[in-house]
Amino acid sequence: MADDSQRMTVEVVEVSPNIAEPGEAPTVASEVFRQLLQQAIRVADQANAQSVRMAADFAEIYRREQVIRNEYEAKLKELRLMERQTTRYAEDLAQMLRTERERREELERALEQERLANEELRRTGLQGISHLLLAATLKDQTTGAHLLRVRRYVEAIATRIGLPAQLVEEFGYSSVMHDVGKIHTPDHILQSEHHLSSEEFEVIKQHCIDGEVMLGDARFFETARAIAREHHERWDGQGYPDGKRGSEISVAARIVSVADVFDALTSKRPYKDAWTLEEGMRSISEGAGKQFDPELVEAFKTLRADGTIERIRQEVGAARFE
Amino acid sequence: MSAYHPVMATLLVADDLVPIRQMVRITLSTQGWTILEAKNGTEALDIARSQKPNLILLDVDMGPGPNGFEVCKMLKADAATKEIPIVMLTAHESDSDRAIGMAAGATQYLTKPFGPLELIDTIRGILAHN
Repeated sequence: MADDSQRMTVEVVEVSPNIAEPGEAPTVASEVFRQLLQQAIRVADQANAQSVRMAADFAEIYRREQVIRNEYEAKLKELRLMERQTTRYAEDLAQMLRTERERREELERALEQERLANEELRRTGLQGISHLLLAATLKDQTTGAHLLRVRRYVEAIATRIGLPAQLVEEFGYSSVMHDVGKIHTPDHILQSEHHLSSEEFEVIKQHCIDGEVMLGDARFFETARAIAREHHERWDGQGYPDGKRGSEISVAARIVSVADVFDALTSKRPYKDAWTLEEGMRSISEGAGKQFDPELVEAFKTLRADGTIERIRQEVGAARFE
Repeated sequence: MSAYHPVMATLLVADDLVPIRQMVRITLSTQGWTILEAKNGTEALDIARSQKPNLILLDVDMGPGPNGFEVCKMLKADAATKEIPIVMLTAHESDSDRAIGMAAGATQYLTKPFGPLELIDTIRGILAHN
């Protein structure tokens, strides 16, 4: 555009000397014509200058526009990069979420299967217990109510000394199996109403060992095995069958020992009347540090003091073991 | 630059684009790494020399001053910084640009748009190697 207007100027300037040709005598007409021509040239020069000026301005505008266009294109390139970058992020994120969801669903399925399997295992274990106890109680004068009360006492003591709920439950269901080994003990010894001979006492001791063996090797019965084996051990080491003392005896067995003896004392048996709660408590207290773990005796006393023992006795009453 | 736990790493990201720096920072902060930022080549050199990061991410075109290839070359020529692994992170995706970057001493050459997981994996791999 600038080049065109400059060429136009050159053409106009070239024409003017031809028109003002020297040598001819100036006439009025020619003088007028000359002046008109000069005026025309002036006008043309002005127009020309204007054109040059405009062309220069246009050139400047074009240059500026070019700069803006370059900036714009650079910015556009940047934006396109950011757009692709954002898309890439979104794709990765979506992929992560998909993977995450699949993994979670898989995990949930596995957990559900695990839960069902555990539940089934638990039911199997608990049914096994019921069958064992049914067999044992048929032989013994022990009643279902005795086992139920022992279980409730055990749970109450375990809770009182601050054991977690899961252990409380495990100690509870395990405690009812403490005498399963008696299924092997001859009836005439079990039901004997007089003092046992030392030979007969050896046979009695055997029920602790038999009970542990009968309860197999499953994790579910681990505590039950310890209880069966150790519930006749004494804090002072004078118990049977192993003569363990103090903390060598598992906590579960120490707890069962207190609960079992207390309920035996306060229940009627073929060879004795039921003691009162007061008499039972006194006997347990006297056994602290000898037959029983003194800490557990203290816990048991608080259960007596706050009415828990009495409530358990009333609630179980003559209820049959299920 | 001896033994360090990857979790404790400090990384420098040099890029003239604010949104790219933000994305890189957000992405890498998920790994527990500390992120330093430079907006051009000169700043990248300064921070690399003063802070000695465990790894540097370099863009190529960063406005005025030395470009990413030049920054990489300078850091590799300097005994104090030549052990710092450098990852080029650029929109230049041609093989010749890649060759220039690797010749300048870069450990890895990633192109934009980069995948966040790819970026994390690359950096993890390099950090675990050292």
